[in-house]
Amino acid sequence: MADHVRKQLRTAVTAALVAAVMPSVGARVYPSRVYPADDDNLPCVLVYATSEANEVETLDGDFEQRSISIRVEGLAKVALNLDDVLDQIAKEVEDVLDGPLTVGAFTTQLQYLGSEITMRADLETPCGSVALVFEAVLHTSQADTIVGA
Amino acid sequence: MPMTENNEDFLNTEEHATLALFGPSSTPIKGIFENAYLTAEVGGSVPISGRTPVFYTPESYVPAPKGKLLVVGGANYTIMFSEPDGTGWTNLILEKA
Repeated sequence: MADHVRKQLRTAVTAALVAAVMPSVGARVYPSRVYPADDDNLPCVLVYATSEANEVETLDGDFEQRSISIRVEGLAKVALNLDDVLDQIAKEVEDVLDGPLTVGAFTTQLQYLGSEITMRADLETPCGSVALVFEAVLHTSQADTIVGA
Repeated sequence: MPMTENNEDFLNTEEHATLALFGPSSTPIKGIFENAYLTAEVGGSVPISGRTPVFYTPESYVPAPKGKLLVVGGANYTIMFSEPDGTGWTNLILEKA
C-alpha cells in the first residue's frame, strides 16, 4: 500500500532539495523537523506538507483532487547580510523546485505561491527565516493512490 | 535611584564578576557576564537556538559603548546597545564579533 500522498510529496520535495546540494545549505535539508535548529545544523532548509484541500472529482466519489501546500523554510544565523543569505537560500530552493517533480509514477509541477522573511536580533548573532509556500495538485483514488498529476 | 555605594564592592572577580577588555584601548573593566541559552522564534516552524550574551556593569566604566568591542573570556563581542537600569548601571547587549 502506498504512503499517504502528502508523505510521498514531502519525500519527493526533500529528495530533490538534497540531490541538488544547494550551495547555501549543502546537505542540511530536514523534513518535518520539530526541534530547534542550532549552530550545528545551520544554515538549513526544512520541508513540511502543511495543509491539503480536497475536492471530489467524480459523481461516485471515487476520485479526488488534492491541493497540497508544501512549506519550505530556510533558516540562517549570520553576523552580516542576513537578508542576502536568506534570499540566496530562497533563490536556490525556487530554482530546484521550479522543474518537474516526480511523485510516485507521475510528474507534477509545484506552483510557487510566495514567501515571507523574518529576522531577529535576540541571539549572539542575527538569525532569521525565509518561508516559501508551494502548492501541488494531485489526483488520487479514495485509496490514496495517485492517478494523475 | 542612583547607587551611592562603591561599584567595586559588587564586582569581586573571585565571585560572580568577570574581567573584560573594553573599547579600542582594551581598558580592563569589571562586570557580570551572562550567556544564557535561548531559542528565538523566527517565524518558522522551529526556533533557532543560541546564546544571549549580556554584560552588566557601571555606566561610568563604559562611556559611549555602542559599537565598541568587548572582550570577555577571550571571545570578542560588539556592543550593540546599552540598557541603563536607572541605578547608574547598564546592561550591554552583545553580539559575537
